Amino acid sequence: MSKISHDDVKKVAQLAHLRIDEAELEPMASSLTQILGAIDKLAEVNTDGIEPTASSIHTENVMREDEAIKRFGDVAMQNAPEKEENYFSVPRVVE
Amino acid sequence: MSGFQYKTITELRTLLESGKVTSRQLVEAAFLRVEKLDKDINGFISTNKDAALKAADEADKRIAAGEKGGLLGVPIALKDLIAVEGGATTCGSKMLDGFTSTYSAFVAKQLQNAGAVNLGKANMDEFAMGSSNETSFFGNCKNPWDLNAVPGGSSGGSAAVVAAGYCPVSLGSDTGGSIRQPASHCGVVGLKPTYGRVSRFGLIAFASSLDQIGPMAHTVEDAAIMLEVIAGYDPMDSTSINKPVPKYTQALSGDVSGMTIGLPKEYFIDGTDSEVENIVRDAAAKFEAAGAKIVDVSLPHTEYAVATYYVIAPAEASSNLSRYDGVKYGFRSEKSENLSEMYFNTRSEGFGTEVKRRIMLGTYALSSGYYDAYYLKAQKVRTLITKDFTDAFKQCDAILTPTAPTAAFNINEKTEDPLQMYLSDIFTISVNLAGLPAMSMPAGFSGSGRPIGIHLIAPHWQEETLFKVGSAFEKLRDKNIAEKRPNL
Repeated sequence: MSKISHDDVKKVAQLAHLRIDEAELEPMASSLTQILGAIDKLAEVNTDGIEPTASSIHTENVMREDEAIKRFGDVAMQNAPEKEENYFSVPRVVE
Repeated sequence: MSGFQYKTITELRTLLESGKVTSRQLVEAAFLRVEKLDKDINGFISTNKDAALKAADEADKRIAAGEKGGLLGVPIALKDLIAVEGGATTCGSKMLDGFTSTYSAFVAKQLQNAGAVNLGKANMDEFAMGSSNETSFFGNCKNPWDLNAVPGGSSGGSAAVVAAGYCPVSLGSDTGGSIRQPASHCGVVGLKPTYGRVSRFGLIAFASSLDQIGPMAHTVEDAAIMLEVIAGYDPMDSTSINKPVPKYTQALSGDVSGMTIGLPKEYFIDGTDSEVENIVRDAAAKFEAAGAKIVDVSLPHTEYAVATYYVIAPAEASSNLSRYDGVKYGFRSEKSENLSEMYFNTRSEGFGTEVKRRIMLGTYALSSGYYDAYYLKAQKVRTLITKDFTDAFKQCDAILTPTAPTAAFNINEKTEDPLQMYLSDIFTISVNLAGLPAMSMPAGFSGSGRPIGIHLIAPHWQEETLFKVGSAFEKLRDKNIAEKRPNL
């Protein structure tokens, strides 16, 4: 039975780029533990020799020619939180 | 003009064609109703009356020129994760509050070409994660049948706008039951097509191997009319399957004689309200009296479906939602010293609790050391769940189950217990894992007057079977079920 610790929550949050405050650590740990407890049930199923399903219907990759088919243009910038000309502005990247 | 609120698509089309009403009049009447009722129901996140009237005028020109067609001039609504170019699309989230779509979804373009008039974007659980429309950043949607009850979710708004009589048909999306369960709770028809039947281009992604768009309407025929318009191959969606679209509106024979309908024993369990079970068994009896054979079937891996889904869907979601970082669009947190802080702050402030919980769950299931035990294991169980259906369909043409274990629960009743909320998806969830088409349709009411639906499942690509059995049920069930209206 997987018990999620506060440390586990912090590690996973780091991977997911989510900030979990001190006050939220226990509620998050607790609900993840509860849900994973229900999920642990899957260990009961014998899946020897069973292929995993990634997608229920199609089985092949869809390819196309490597040709540009459409220019997005200015509309690509229309939702930018901050921009300079055709560049998206962000806070400083490197220390 | 008024009195259109519960007319079917066919009835509205007849009025439009005969010149008795214009599309503009229908849209004006719809907005009067929205303005009167939606402050209490909150079915719409946004509406655009000017754009709708403009589209209605365009439709009226086409009608005057003699054009006919299933949805020409008919008001509709779209769940707010379907992109319409130049319009707001929020996914029920702060993360996309203020975002304007830069292109239209395939289904939106199909509807525009067909002359349908979109009234607005329907409320939903945030990023489609929920079963009650209680996680929307824009407030709860209420069930039109009882404002203390949830409409279901995540397509709560899409169900409510039809149930409240704003428009005859809407589009929702279904990843684990998000069309069918709110359809059941709101007393409307809700259909999830076979995976790959309807293009996901312009559908903001939650779980890419499970998501499908589908119609919500008052009648099976109206659902068929909508499905004919939105289904079809789209090269812009690499999971769209190139199969011709049948004339679904010709599959409404309503004749089940000679068909076999299966009742899976694993779906009749403790925890299902006896009112719900009685309604489903009564439906089976009606089908039998009409010439169908009823058989018991087994779907042995049913008890693992919720667990399987709650690994796969959050895992796919954690990947799909990694794009929300405040850089190119959407919400950006203001107080960041550097890029990394901006990512963490934006995502932490922009997402609600349930979304964060599912991202955490998915990230954990995919992380090093856990991938095999969780994600890979779930994918294998998914194969077994799919095989259960393949085997069962050797013994029957369609499967009949309850849609939900209960009628709609009260607002705030399940918000403290995520696991309880997840378990309410138990009957709909396997269908998404297997990629099958399925439909919920109104079948009765609880003692307290809340709608209860029955759920029909068909083999891959057999939406016609759903329409055949569904249209039969509309003839066989008590007349008062279709005639009852919410008290609004």
